[in-house]
Formats: sequence, structure tokens, C-alpha cells
Amino acid sequence: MSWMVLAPGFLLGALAIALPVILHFLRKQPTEVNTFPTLIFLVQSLRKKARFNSIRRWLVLLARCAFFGLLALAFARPFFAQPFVSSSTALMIILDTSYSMGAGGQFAKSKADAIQALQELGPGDLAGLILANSHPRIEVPLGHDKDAVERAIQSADLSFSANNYDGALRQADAQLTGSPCGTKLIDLFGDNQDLAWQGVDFKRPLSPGIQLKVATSAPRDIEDVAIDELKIAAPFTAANQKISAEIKVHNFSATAVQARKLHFELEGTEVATTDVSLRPGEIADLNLEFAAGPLQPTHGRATLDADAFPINDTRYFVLNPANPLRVGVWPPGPAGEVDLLSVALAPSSELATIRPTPITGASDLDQCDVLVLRPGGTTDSALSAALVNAIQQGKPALLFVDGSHASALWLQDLGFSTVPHPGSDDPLHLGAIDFNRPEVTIFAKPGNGDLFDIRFTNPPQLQLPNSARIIASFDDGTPALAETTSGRGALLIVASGLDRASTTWPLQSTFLPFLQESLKHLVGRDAPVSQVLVGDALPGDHPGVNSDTPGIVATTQGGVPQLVAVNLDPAESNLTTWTNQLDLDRLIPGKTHPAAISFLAALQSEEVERHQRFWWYAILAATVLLFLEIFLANRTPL
Amino acid sequence: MEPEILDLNLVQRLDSFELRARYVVEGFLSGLNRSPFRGFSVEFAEYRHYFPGDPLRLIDWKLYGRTDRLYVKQFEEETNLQVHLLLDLSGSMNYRSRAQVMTKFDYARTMAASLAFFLHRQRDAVGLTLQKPDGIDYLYSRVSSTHLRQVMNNLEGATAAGEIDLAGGVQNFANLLHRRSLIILISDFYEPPEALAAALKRLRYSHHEVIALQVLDPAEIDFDFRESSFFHDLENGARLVIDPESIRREYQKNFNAHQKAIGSVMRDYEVDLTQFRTDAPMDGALSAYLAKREGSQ
Repeated sequence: MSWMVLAPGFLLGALAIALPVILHFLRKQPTEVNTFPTLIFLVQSLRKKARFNSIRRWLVLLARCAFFGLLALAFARPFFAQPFVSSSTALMIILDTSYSMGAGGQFAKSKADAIQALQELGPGDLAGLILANSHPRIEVPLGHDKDAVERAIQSADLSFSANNYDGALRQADAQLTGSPCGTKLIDLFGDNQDLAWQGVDFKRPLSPGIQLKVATSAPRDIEDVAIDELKIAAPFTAANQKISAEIKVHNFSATAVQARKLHFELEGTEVATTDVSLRPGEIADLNLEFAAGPLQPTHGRATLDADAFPINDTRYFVLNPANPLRVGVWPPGPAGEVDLLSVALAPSSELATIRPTPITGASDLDQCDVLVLRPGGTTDSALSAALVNAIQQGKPALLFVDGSHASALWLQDLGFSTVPHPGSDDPLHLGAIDFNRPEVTIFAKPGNGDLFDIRFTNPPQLQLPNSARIIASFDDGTPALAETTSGRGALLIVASGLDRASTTWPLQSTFLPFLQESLKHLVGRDAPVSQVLVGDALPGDHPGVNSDTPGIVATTQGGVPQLVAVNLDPAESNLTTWTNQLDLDRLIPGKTHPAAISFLAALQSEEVERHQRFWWYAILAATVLLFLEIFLANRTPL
Repeated sequence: MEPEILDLNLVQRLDSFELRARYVVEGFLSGLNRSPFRGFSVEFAEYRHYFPGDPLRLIDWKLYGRTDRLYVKQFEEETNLQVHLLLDLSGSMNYRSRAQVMTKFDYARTMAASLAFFLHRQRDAVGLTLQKPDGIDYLYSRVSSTHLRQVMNNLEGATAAGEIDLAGGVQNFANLLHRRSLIILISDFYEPPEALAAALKRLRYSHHEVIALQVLDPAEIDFDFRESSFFHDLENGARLVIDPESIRREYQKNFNAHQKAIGSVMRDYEVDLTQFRTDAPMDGALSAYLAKREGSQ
């Protein structure tokens, strides 16, 4: 072991030691001469003091020199380097436990190979074990207990997660870096899957002196057909009991697959089946329709007949009943005209999550999640008061207001007002839109409709409080669409009626998605998560369960019980082996360019120095010496 | 009236030691009228036959009535108190700190001159011995004014320098004294206590009365120097770099120990030691003399 420094240039700062030395030897002698009757009393004292002061002066000099020396040392960032003098070997075994290792008996073979490599170690050698998957962990830290490593290998199980070797390699690197052994070896036992290497940062090689040995895996010529994806196309509602499932089946093998049977089960009962034939590498898009049962959380799975790699032959799904948004509309549409608002809110396959609820009296308000209020209608003071009260008690509402007296009364009751729009009767368009707002953000994407095409005629000018958030303005700068509150209720106010004389919006394609997005935003309801991959975070509350294994998990999302399907990462099904030896060479320091080795050595040195932090101790010691110097110098005569 | 304060600045400005002495003594005597030291005068010694030319006021008429012979009262100097001033002329006496107006030597000389003047006024015989590095300069004791001027001249011409051997000097000095005398030692007494003891022993052996007047500069007592500086020994010329702050306590400890030892030696030999600071009036020396004189009668 030897001392090294990261920034040797700073050691030149140690030349400052000469300063106190010079000052010490050229220290100022007193010029003043005091005559005195006799020095006999002084000489007696001086004899005692002289030696003491001499020692103190040397101590002061020492403290000053050490102060400058330590300061220079601290800036030079010293560290204690470990030379590779030992003849022993440190072996970190990385055992791939991703589920792809289950194909063709690869896992058992890799375990046997790992144990054999372990047994080849000598008595003084060190060994450790890392189990590699999407969350690699050190199963046995580097040490002399090779039996513990062997036991851990034998008892290792396959995980259901995909793999990325990068994390495992970095952990092994960190374990070996601190080892005093002369030979430092990482032995990776896995299926050498292309996917596992894709995430490795080859620009960041392992520490100098570390060797990497990767067990090359022969291509597994096995039949490997997997279900990549299973998606339920439409919401599961009372109105939509006929469920459509979109399934992607992928043939990863090099041979064609004929008439593989796919079974579709719902709550353990097979509800559909079909045959799949695939060419090598082909992906089949299947569409299965089946009748769902009662409107309650339901789960099922799609399963292929087992092949040589059966773990990826099953995919789970869930049917969580959609909870329709109950939208109360008031007043009813105008008689004798097409009610464009009702048309937009009418149930359809796309809008099955919205259920219009007619309001005939105050008692209907409790049945509504959100209100849509528009101009016109008969005057019903009791109902109007109930509506205002409901809003102010927290019921969200979407308000369309025009320049009519009725609209003015609405706004007045809610604490706002309008004034007639200044200017001519020329139509207005939207001039500025805040596309960051969730109500309109979908229109930021080209092809989703153009809000600037909407024409407005004689819209009212909204008088809103400063706290109101303007989402869109007319081209003359007055507010067109604003979000505000009245009491505890959230309000989205559109400065326009819905009749054809006021606007063309209800006839345009942007109106329906605007309604849907606005109402969902007002209520604060997001679509529940129905499936995750193994290892992903589960949504909502899920006491006592996790996503470590494929299957169905019960959770609670937004206070509503929901099922979540946990499936394997389909990418792991691709058993293609990694063949880029050049990248592997870049990872091993011994095969890198000399300049890169030097760079890596510097990186390692920095890492060691950062870990040891001797500079900090040097600064601390220098500070102590500074105080000592002040203490001694103030008490030591020249 | 309050006693007048002796102005050392004024004393220092007086060139003549006789004037200095007169100033000191007059000031002292004016204060003495209100002091308990009263009733001294030129003392009667014996009778002798009247010779023509003697002042008639000196004739003792009562004795004439009893004996029918003329006698006059004898006030001869031999019968008066023999006082010897022994002045230390070592280099250490040449010290004056910055705040003071007089060196210890000037102070001691003025003190000696004042004593001589006062003794002369008392009709006591006064002698002066100057102790120099190369021996003693002895001037016998007399009462006459001529002698007093000689004493003053000797004081004016004296210089302090070098190291002296107090014990040896006193030994030589004692050998020159044939009558019991009052000896006033004026020095800073920077002598080893044992040497001082030997000197005093010799004097006391000859039954001399001894008064010791120690003259010190305040800086010697307080050692109130601040800056590191060279300290130059006035006696032997040695030079040391000294940081006064660091050494003050040790110095004072040593100095006080020496003072204590000197005081102890003085007490052992029944010598009255009076310490004078050069920033204080010197008429205390006269008081010390008078106190001793009263005690010896």
C-alpha cells in the first residue's frame, strides 16, 4: 500500500513551509535597549524560562510548517492506494436469475458452472455472489466463506423479472475494488441474453485490474412462443357487456409454429379459444370477443399450450367496471331544436364513462358528480338556489354563459358578473390558449382538432376575480374560458352560449373531447390502472401484496376496489443472445486504450480518495495546528 | 500647615550639592517643627579652663560660683557624634528609569549631602567614604565648614560605575575607624546577603551603629516593562534579550526574595533598613538618622 495524491501540483504549496522557517531564523530582534541595575534576578528567571521558551519556539515553528504542509496535502487530495501484491483471487459470481434462464434448462446449467468455478478457488481466495435480475442484490458479500456462496447458489430460484447486467456488474466492481487480492475476477453465469446487455453502460468500464469472464451461451434452439400483450379494448360498463380483447402472440423461435391453441379464461372458465400459426419471428394480432359476467371486478387469463419455455405462455387481465361520470344538465335543451349538448353527452361506445342525468328537482343534485349549466330555461328560483348552494358546497360545474339576463343572474348568484362585449358584432375567435391546462392539453397535439377555428358571436365579457385562471382568451384579449371557484366548488366558465347563434363550437369535433376532458378534470377522476409488469409499483392501496410474481392483485384505487393484472416483461421472452464482443472489450479495462486505462485509473483514484476523505482530516489537523500556533505564539517571546 | 513636599525636579536642577542639601534639610526642618522629634541641640561634652579670647557666653557662671574658677562648656567635635556616610558607587546605582528625574546615584548623593549638611548643622562630625570598584575613598569625619565643603566636593566629583566588593570595602573602611561611630550605608544593596552579613558583622564587631538606606528605582520594584528588548546590566555590561511580560512574575519573586534576605540580615545585625524610591522625598533619611540618634543616646 502506498500514499498517492490526486492533484500533485498542490504539493508545491508545501514550499510555503519555507516562510515560517525563514521567519523563524530571521525573526526580528529587539532594537530597544533598556539599561538595568542588575540582571541577577532576570538571569535566574531566564535560566528556567530559556529552555522552556526554546521548546515553545520550536513547537510554534513546527506548528506553522505542519499547517502549511497539511494545507498543501489537503488540496493535493491524498489517498491510500492499494497495490495488487497479493497472489490470491477474489471472485464475484453473478448468477442470472431472470425468467429467461428458465428456457432450456439454462438456469440449472449456470448454477452447476458457478459451483464448479467456486470449487476451483484456492484456500486463501475470496468469493461472493450476486443474483442478477431487474433488481440485482448481493446475496453473499465477498469473503472467505465459499461454502455460504455455494449454498446460496444451490438455493437460488428463478425470478419473474427481466434482467439488466449493468447493476450487477457495478455491484461486483464495488465489491472487488476494495479487495487486496492480486486477481479480481467477475464470473457472469447467465444466458447472455441480448436484452440483459442492452442496458449496460459500456462507456463506463470496470475498475482497473478487474477481469470479466462471461459464460458464452449457445443459441437455444427451442420453440418459444409468447403472449406479448393483452389489451381489453373497451370499458367494462353495464352498457357494454361484450368485451373485446386484443392479443399479440409472438413467435421468438427460429421455426414456424402450427396451430398452437390459445385459451381464454374468465374467472377460471374458458370463454374462448383459437388456434395460432406463426412463422419464425412473426407477431400475430388476435381479437377475441367474449361476454362478460356481472358488473364487478373480474379477472382472467390467456394461455398458450405449453412449449419449451412455458413461463411466458400466460398473460393475465382484469375487467374493472367503469364507474360512469354522472353529469347533471340544467336547464333541459330548448324545445324544437337539436340539443347539441345532450347529443355530445349521449352514451356511446366512446363515452360510456359519462352518464347524463336529468335534473328535475333539487333532490336530483345528489345523484350528480358534476353539473353542466347553460343559458336559458324556465325560471325556478328554488332549483336555482339549490344549484348555487350545491356548487358552493363543493359540487363542480361547467358553466356556459351568454349575454342573457338568466346568465347574468347565474353569475351574480355565484359571485361573478358579465358586461356586454365591446366592439362590433363581428365574430370572435380564440386568440390565446394555455395548452398546459388539462382541459385543452389534448388539442396541443396536431390532428386532435383546432380550437382556433371556433367562431363566437357576441360573447359576454366575463368579470372574474384575480384568482381566476384564464385558460383561453378571445382574439381581443377578453376571457373566453376560465377556471375559478365559488365557495368550495370548482367552476369552469365558458363565455358563450351553446346555441348556433352564439357559437359554432358544438358542431365542431373539438367540442366532445373538450366536454369529456373538462368534466373528468373537474371531478378529478383518472382512469384506474389495470395492469403492471413484475417488479413495477402497484397503484393505490395494496396492503400485504406486491408485484413480484405474475397473477392478479387486489388493490384500492381512489377508494374503489380494483383488480390489477401483474404480467411478465414480454421483452425478456426474446432469447436472442448478445454477440457484440467489441463492447465487452470496452468494458474490461485491460482491453481498453492506454489513455482510457489512465483515465479509468484516475477515476478509480478519485473514487478511493473520495471514499477515504483524508483531505478532510488534513484540513481538520491544520485547523487544530492553527489554533495551537496562535495559543503558543501568543505566549512565547521572540 | 501641611509639610512641604520635596520637589525632586527642583533638587535635580540645583547644581550645587550644598544647595541641594540645604534645600532638603530646610524643608525637613520646617516640617520637623510640627514633628515629634524635638529637643535636640548641640550637646555639652565637658568643661575646660577659660582662656582669654573665649566667648564670655560660654562661661559657666554657676560653676564659677561654686569653684571660684572660670570654666567654659566644651563643645569640641571629638565629643560629638561621629557619623560616617558610606556611599555605594557601583554601576547599578547609575540607573534611572524613564519616568524618574534622578538616577539612584544622584538620589543617594543628594541624600548623603543632605545628611552631611544636617549633621554639620547639628555640630556632629561627618565623614564620607565612597566605595568604588577599585577600593574606598575615605574622608575622615570633622565638624568644620571647610570639611563639609570637602564632603560636598567629594560627592559632586563622584561617579558610579562597575562592580564593587561591599564586604571587602567595609572591611577596609572599618579598619580606618578608631572611634565608635554611626555609619550610614547608602546603597541599593545588590549584594549577596552573605557578603552583606560579613560586612555588617565587621561593623557591629567594632560596636558601630549602622543605618542602611536602600535606594531603589520604582522600575526595579515593579518591573513594568512591556516590550521585548535588550536589557543591559549597568554593573558588568552583560546584555540579554528579555520578554518582560513572560518573566515579570519570576523577576518579582526573585527580587522580593532578595529583599527579604537583605532585611533578614539587617535584622540579625540590628541594622535599621529604610527603603527609598527615587520617586519619593528623601527627607526620610534625615528622619531615620534622627530616630537612630535618639535611640543611641
